[in-house]
Amino acid sequence: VLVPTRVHITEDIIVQKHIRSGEEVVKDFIASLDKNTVIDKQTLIAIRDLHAAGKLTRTRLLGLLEKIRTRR
Amino acid sequence: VKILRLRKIDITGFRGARFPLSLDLTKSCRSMAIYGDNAHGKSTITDAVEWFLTGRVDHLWREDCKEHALRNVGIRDTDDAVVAIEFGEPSFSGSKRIKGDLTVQSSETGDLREYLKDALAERHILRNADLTTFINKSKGEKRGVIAKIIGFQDVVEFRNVILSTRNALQRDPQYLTAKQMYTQATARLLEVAGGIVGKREQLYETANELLKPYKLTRTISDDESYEACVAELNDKIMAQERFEKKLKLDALKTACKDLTTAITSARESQDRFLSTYAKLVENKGKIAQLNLEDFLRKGQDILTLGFMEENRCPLCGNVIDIEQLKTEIEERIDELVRNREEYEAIRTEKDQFLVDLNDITRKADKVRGACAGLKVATDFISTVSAFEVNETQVAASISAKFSTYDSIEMNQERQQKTEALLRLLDDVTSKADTESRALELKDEEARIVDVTRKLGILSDTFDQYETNATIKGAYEEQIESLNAISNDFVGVQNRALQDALDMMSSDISRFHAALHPQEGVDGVRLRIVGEEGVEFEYSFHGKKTYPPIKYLSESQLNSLGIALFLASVRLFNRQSNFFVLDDVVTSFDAGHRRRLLRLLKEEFKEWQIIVLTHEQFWFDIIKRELSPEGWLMNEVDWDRENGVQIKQSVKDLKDLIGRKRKEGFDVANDVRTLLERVLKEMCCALGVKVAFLYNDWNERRMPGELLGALRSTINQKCEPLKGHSIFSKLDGSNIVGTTGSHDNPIDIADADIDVALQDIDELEKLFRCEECGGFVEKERLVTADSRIMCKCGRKAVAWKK
Repeated sequence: VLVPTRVHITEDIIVQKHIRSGEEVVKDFIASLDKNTVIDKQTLIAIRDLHAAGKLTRTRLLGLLEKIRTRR
Repeated sequence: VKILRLRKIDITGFRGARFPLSLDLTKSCRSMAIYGDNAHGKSTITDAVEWFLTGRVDHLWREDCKEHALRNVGIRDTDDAVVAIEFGEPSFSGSKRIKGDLTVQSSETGDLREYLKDALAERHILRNADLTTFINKSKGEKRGVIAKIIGFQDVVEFRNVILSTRNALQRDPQYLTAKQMYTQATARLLEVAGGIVGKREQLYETANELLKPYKLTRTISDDESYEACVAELNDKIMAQERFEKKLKLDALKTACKDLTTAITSARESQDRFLSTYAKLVENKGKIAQLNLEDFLRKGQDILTLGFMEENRCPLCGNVIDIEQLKTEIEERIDELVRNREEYEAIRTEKDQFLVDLNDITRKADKVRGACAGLKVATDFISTVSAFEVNETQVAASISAKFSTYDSIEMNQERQQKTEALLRLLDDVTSKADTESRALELKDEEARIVDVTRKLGILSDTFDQYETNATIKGAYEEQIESLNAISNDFVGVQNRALQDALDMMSSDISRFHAALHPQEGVDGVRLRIVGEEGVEFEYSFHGKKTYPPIKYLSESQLNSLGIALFLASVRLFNRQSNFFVLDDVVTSFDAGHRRRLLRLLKEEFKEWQIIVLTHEQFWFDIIKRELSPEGWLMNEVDWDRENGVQIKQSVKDLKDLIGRKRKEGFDVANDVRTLLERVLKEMCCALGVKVAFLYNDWNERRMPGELLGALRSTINQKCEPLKGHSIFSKLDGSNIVGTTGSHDNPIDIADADIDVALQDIDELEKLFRCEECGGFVEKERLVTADSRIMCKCGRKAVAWKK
């Protein structure tokens, strides 16, 4: 019995057997924060934008939060 | 998603493989079982795959080892150690080589480069030595390993960014100042208005209440009407000049009192800060060591993840007691945490002191402003100005010195100047009070002055309240948001980890049950234990318990190790569709070995598996059970000259001899091996009878014995070849091979080797078919003609029944 070089795996199997990586956990978590009314929207946008750009650091986040406060 | 399988593995000059060792897994990328005796270099194959995929071989990655240990000791400095892997998908294929100077060169293409990055998160190899490594780790170590496997560094980093940003906001001097001024303004408003004034409407309401007795033409409803009403009220006073002066004197009195209060507060916060800071400076080393906390925590992670050889210090490589080291690091971290908390308390004192100094400069500014239009001694104003400048410099100096932990001393002169200013402030306040009292006003006018003063204070203080409430509110909104995010995230983090554990657990439990059915161990799962731990939980004869070592046998623990590996392979291999099991069944009993084969057959039939073993019996079982499933079977041999080699066919051996002769190597031993191989194949094909020997001893027969038995059989069965000269020639060639293959001072001439090879060829030609390459076989006897044939029927030799 010869086995094929590439095994065709359906999307279902991949989804079912997929452990969420840390990156996915963080991404999904940030996406879910919209529903949290305690969180300031501007703060959330700052975090989300930095994370999406792969630049979420303390210094950058503090910089954006200061701009938000100044605008207010 | 690409599912990659191994097509071919070529290893040269790497570990035990001195000469090219090639594993052809065919175009169909089939699974393979490989047998080789202990210490016959089987693991060279595993090491090669591991090094190719990860750039390291875990068990060799220590000081004075690494690439040095990967180059075969027999190869020349100018030769490279090479591992080349062909995958089912050609664009992923490539090679890596280690040069004589131990530099590594790689022929990675774009596809392979990307794949190798991802491969680091996959599971490819399970060795016997690693079977129970994870199981024996502590709860915290298990959590660390799992977090690392599932790439939870991002989670840790995210939470760190959120928490450190929140901490930075909480310590921001602007926030601390706003908070203090807000508190002061709230207290002042409460004092002046007699109630809470939190909104501008409340301010207007309070002001209108104060103005009510004066029946003004309008009421206050905004800032403009506020000013207009104050002006209308002041117009009711006949002696405007005196009135205005009285107002100014009262404002000066208030400003001086405020500055006095600010100086007193700053003195208190200064004393608190300096007394603790002096102790901190005395132990400067303690502060410098705070940076070690991160380093030690990383070290703790490394020990937890087992990145180094057992009982070796990860830094210096010396032999140490790892458990002792772990305890020492934990104690050290505890001490550093205490030091950090102490340091943070002192930093808070410093921040408060700076806030108070800023308050002094603001209040001093107000005093100078209040002096306008009044006859105040010019040296008072210049003293206040000088003090203001000096305090600003003190604040800057404290910030600078604190950043380098230099000692801070307040000089006597500053102390004296402060005392002098306090006395001046008291004097000016007292004079302003006297002067104000001297400015006689009618009772009604005095009341109006009082109301006007109150309205002024209310308005100014409310502005201060409102401004600082806005600043404070903006900070707190962000701090609370970050707090909420951090708190929510802890739950998400644990749920995600448990999800991952559950996903692994369902496979682990099923695999373990398949290996150990009806042994009272069920429901094996990984679960979060306490705040920072992960442990295997299982049901032992109906009772839930942990850890595994408590009740499970060695065989059950090994099975747990295999089950964990197989579950990890399934979950983490996003691209690779293969894995290697290197001698993992050594400590299994026979019953469980066969269950493992069944498990691989049933659960991993769509995977390419390479199984290596040093047990002949186990290899025989694999052959029987897995050959019908399309598995390839192979054996490796090892000798001192050639290193590890796949057990060669006659053709492979001839190729090897040709290659070695070209490079000037001695091949006498290879000639002996070739003759032995040819004779074994012929004896088997012709049904030559030899004396009975057990198992391996049958394989170890020498050419001389085989040649004698073959000659005897030919003389009896094959009349045309009876007494053929080839047998006596081969006797001579056998001596050449045997002599040259032992440590013998006699040099074997090239010409002797040529003759021996010609003799072997001549013998083969008598019985081997040129068309199909096979020998004539006793089993293919044509009775009518008294001949035996090869499998294609083109070669025939006379043979008596």
